[in-house]
Amino acid sequence: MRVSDYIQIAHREITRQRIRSALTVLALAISTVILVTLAAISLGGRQAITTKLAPDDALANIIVTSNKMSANISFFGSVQEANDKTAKLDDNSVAELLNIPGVKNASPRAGVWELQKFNIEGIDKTFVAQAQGVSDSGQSITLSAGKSFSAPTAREVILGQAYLKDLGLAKTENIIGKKITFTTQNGYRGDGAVVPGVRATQSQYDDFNKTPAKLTATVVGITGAGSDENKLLIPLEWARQVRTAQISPTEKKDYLAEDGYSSILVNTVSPAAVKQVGTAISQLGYGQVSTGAIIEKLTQFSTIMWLILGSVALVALLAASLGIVNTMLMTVSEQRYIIGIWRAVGARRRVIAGIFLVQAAFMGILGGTIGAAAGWYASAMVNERIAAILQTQNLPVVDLAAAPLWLCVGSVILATVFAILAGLYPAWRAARQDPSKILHSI
Amino acid sequence: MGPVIVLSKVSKTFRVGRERIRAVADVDLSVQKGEILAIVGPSGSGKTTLAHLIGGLSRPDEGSVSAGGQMLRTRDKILSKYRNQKIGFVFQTFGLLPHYSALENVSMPLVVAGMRRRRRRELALKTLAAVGLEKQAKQRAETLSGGQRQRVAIARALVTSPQVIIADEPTGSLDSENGEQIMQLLERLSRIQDITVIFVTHDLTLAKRADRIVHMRDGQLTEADHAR
Ligand SMILES: Nc1ncnc2c1ncn2[C@@H]1O[C@H](COP(=O)(O)OP(=O)(O)OP(=O)(O)O)[C@@H](O)[C@H]1O
Ligand SMILES: [Mg+2]
Repeated sequence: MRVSDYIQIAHREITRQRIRSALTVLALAISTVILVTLAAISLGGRQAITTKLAPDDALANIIVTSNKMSANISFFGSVQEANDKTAKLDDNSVAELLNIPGVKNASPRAGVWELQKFNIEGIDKTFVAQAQGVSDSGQSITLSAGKSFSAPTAREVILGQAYLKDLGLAKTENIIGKKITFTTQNGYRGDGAVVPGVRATQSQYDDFNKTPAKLTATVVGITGAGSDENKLLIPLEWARQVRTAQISPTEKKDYLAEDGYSSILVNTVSPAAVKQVGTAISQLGYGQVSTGAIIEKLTQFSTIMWLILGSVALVALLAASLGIVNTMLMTVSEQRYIIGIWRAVGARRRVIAGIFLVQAAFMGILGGTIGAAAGWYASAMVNERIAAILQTQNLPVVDLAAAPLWLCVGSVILATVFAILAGLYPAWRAARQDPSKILHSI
Repeated sequence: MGPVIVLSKVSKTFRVGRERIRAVADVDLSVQKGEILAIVGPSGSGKTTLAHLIGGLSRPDEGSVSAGGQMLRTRDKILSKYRNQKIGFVFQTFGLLPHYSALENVSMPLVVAGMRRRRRRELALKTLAAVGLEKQAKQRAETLSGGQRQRVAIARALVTSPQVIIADEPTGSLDSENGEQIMQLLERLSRIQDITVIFVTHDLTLAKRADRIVHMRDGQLTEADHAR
C-alpha cells in the first residue's frame, strides 16, 4: 500500500471521529505546551545566568575576603563554618596572594565608612556613599567612560554606572569633571577634618562631635556594568588618609591598617586557573568567592530545575500518551469489522498496524505542532511580561523564557514519538485480529 | 484443464473452553475453472468455515489447500496476496465500509495492491459500470439500497479480476427480486468472464442453479447430484 493511502485513511478516520480525536490531540497539545514553556523558562534562566553574570574577563577574577563565611554558596542551605582566627587582609596578604601560581594581579579594596553621603554639583540629590578605596595598579576597575585615578592620593572618584540613571543624565560626558562633595560621619577626624585644638572648650568639642565634615573631589570616570556599578571608587591611598584619624594633637591612627582591607581582587591568568587558585587561597586561610563559582552553583541549580520541570512535562506527555492508547484501543475494538474487511480484500497484518500507527503519528504531529506553537507564544508572552517588569525595576532586560526553534521542533518530534509509541500496542492488537472470526458473522 | 482449487484432507478445529469443535473434517474438494459450486447444509455445519479456508482467510489445521496447482503456504504475506489477487469475497451483509463511497469501496483491493490513484479510479469505475452502478459511484455505501450494496460488493470482489468469487449467503439479506438479480449477476460473470463462483446458501432452489452442489453436515462434505 502507498504512503499517501496510509495518510489518507488515517486522515479520514481521525476526521470521522472528530470529537474523540480532538480531545486526544488536545491532551497532547496541552502537554507539549507545558513541555515547551517549562523548557523555555529553564533554558532562558540558564542563558541569563551565564550571559549576565559573566561579563568578559570577570570569570578570571576571585574576590578574597578575610574570613570563610562567604565561601560556601548554596541554594539549599549549607552549614557555614565560623572562623575564629579571622585572617586580616593587609599588604602581606597581597604579597602572599601574588605568590600563588596563576595569579596575575592582586588589588586590595577598602570600605570607607567615614564617607557617608555625596552630592554632585548642579544636581539636587543626595546619595548614600558606598565608597571603596581601590588600588588600580592592575587595572582592576572596568571603565565605561573617563579615565582612572591620576595618582594614589588624588581626590578623584570613579562613579558607579548605576548612578547615572538616578542622576537623570543621558550622556556620561556631562558628569566627568564635575565636583563631588562628600558628607562624612559626625566627628570625622581624617583627611580634611578640622579637629579642635588642645585648648578648645568642651562645647567646641561637643559641636565638633555633632557635625560632619565636607570633602570635595572630582569625578574622573564611570565604571562598567558589574559588581562595581553601584559603588563609588576612590584611590586607595586617599582612602587611607580618610581613614587615618587624628586621635590626639600629636597622634594619628591608621584605621585602614588596623581593620585590614575589606577584600582583595585577584586576577588569575585565565578562568581555567580560578579553581586551583581558589583552593590555594582557601589553604592560606582566606575566604574567596568567584563569579565562576557562583555561576557553577547557579548552573547546578538551574540544571536541577530543568530536570524537575522536564520530568513534569514528560509525565504530562506520558499521561497524554496513555490517552492515545486508550482511544486507539477503543477504536480498534469498534473497527473490528473494518479491519476484517481490509483483511478480506488482501491487507496484510502490517498494513493494518500501519493504518493505526499512522493515525497515532498524525495525532502526535497535530497535537505537537499545536502545542509547540502555543508554547512558543506563551513563552514569548512570559518573556514580554518579565522584560516589562525588569524595565520598570531598572534592571537589565534578559530573555528569560525564549523558546528556540530547536525546542519547538524537538517537542513536535517528541510528541510524535510518544504518540507512535502509544499507538504500538493498539496497532499490534489490530493486526492480530483474526479476520475469519470477524467475518464469520457478517 | 486442471482445477483452480483443490482441497485435500482439510480439517479445521475450534476450541471453545475444553470442547473441541471440528467445524471442517477431512474435506476433499476440487473446483474447476468457470464452475459454479453451491455449498448447502444446515446451520452450523461448517459452510462458512470451509469458505474461509478456500479463500485464505483462515488456515487449515490439517490437510492442504491448493490454488492453480500450488499449495497455499500459510505465511500472512502469501495468504494476503492470494486474497487480494486470486479471490473475491462477497458477504451476506455486504461488508462495505458505510462511510466510503461506492467507488472507494470498490477501490479497496486496488489500494491494498498499491495501484496508483488514477488507474484504480478508472478500473473501479469500469467495474461499477459492469454491475450497473456507474451513477452511484460517488454515493456513500450507507445510502445505497440492499441490492445496490451487494452489487457494489460484487464489483469490489471482481475488480482485481480474481479467479474465484466466494459468496457466503450472497442473497441472504435481500428480497427475492434483488436476490434473483444478484444470482443472475454471478451467473453472468461465471459464463462471460470464466470466473469460478463458490456460493454458500440455505436456499435449495437457488443452489439448483449451480453447476454442482455439495452438502455439508457436521463438517463433512457429501457430493450431491449435478444440478445441470
Ligand atoms: N471462531 C470460532 N470459535 C469457535 N467455534 C467456531 C468458530 N467459528 C465457527 N465455529 C463453530 O464451527 C461450526 C461451524 O460454523 P460455521 O459458521 O462454519 O457454520 P455454517 O454452516 O456457516 O452455519 P450458518 O449456516 O449458520 O452460517 C459451528 O459449530 C460454530 O459454532
Ligand atoms: Mg455461515
